[in-house]
Amino acid sequence: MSHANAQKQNDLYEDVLYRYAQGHLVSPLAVVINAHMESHPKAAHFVAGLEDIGGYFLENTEPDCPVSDHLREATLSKIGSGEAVSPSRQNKTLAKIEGLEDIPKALFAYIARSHKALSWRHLTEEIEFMCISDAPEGQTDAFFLRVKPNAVFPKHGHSSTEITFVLHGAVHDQDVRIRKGDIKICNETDEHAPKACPEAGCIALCVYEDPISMDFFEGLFN
Amino acid sequence: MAIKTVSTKQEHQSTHISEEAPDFVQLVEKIGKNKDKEAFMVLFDHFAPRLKSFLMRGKFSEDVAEEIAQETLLTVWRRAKSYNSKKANPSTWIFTIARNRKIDYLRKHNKPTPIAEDLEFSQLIHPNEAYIRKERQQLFETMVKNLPGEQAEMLKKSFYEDKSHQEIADETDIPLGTVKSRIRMALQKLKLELGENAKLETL
Repeated sequence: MSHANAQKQNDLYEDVLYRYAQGHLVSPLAVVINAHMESHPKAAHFVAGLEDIGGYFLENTEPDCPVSDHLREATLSKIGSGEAVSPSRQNKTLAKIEGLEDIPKALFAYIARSHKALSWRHLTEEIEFMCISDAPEGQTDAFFLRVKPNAVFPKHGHSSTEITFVLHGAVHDQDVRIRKGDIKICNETDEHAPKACPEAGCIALCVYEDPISMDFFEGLFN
Repeated sequence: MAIKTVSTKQEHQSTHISEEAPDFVQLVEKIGKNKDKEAFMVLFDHFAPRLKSFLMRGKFSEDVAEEIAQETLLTVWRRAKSYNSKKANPSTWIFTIARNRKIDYLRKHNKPTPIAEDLEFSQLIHPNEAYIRKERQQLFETMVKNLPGEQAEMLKKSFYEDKSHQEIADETDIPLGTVKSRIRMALQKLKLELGENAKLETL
């Protein structure tokens, strides 16, 4: 990867973690960052440090105004009445995806909440697709890809931030290898044609800041 | 009744809010172990107005800010048992819960198909047990206090006023590049750097 590309990828990476800590990432992106941090302690430290900054200002900034008396009473009565007991935890069942042995914990709830029956669909002989998006009909902002060794994904650009998170095997993209647990970020200025590694192919989760149209996506394969 | 004692405490606290802060770790642990309402209300009195102010700075209306502040503190009440002081300062923990509640709120109100509500990012945020914050908390606070004003201001706008880099640049009339470099310098001083680890393996 050229120096400029490496610098850009580092900047995008830092920026995305920063926005995660602020709470400025949409949910599919935030879920993927969570999953990435499970295997990347350095990223988790960085985010934790930023959250410490948030905690510091929250604790040490004098409030602009008090809360209403009503809020205090209402809160007190909620904890007294048992209304504030833990909601039953759903999504405890292990998320399963055919072909994947282990799935990061951060993805369990996200996968399990999907109302759709999760199954792979062939886009080509070598590339399979599985949508887990909540985006409106005809669009998607989150899907898995299962790609055979050496298969190349058609070249495409991006209309918003895309994060590719590798769950199995590796992806070769713009002179870098994205291994299991790694993320690669693309923004509006990137065009790429990622390729599954020769050894194991790959399973990856792709998420988007703004949903993309399925027509555009499927058009890549025609 | 305990409730009455607590009410008196609130009056005291609201007028002397900047007096010595209570030991928040101890309070959260009391709530976790004994469902201690008095401890909870001390925490409430400190954090509820701060959460409300934080959320209003983030452009929520007063009503919504109070609603999210309340939900945040009720989450503290429910989850206090699972709170681990080795992983997070109470204020950081509360900050992350508020941030996630805020995301939930926006999702509920802006997106037609919200994802499962009980997906709480904060439950999974810090997988690395080795990050012992308690030990570095004081050091960290000193470091934040010692940041040059212009750098601390950028961090406060990011994490307390909930602004993007671009919004900070627009508001302060400082070029975006300068905003970013001030933030980067501040993070370097706080020893928050990703360094080489950010890099993907080159083919």
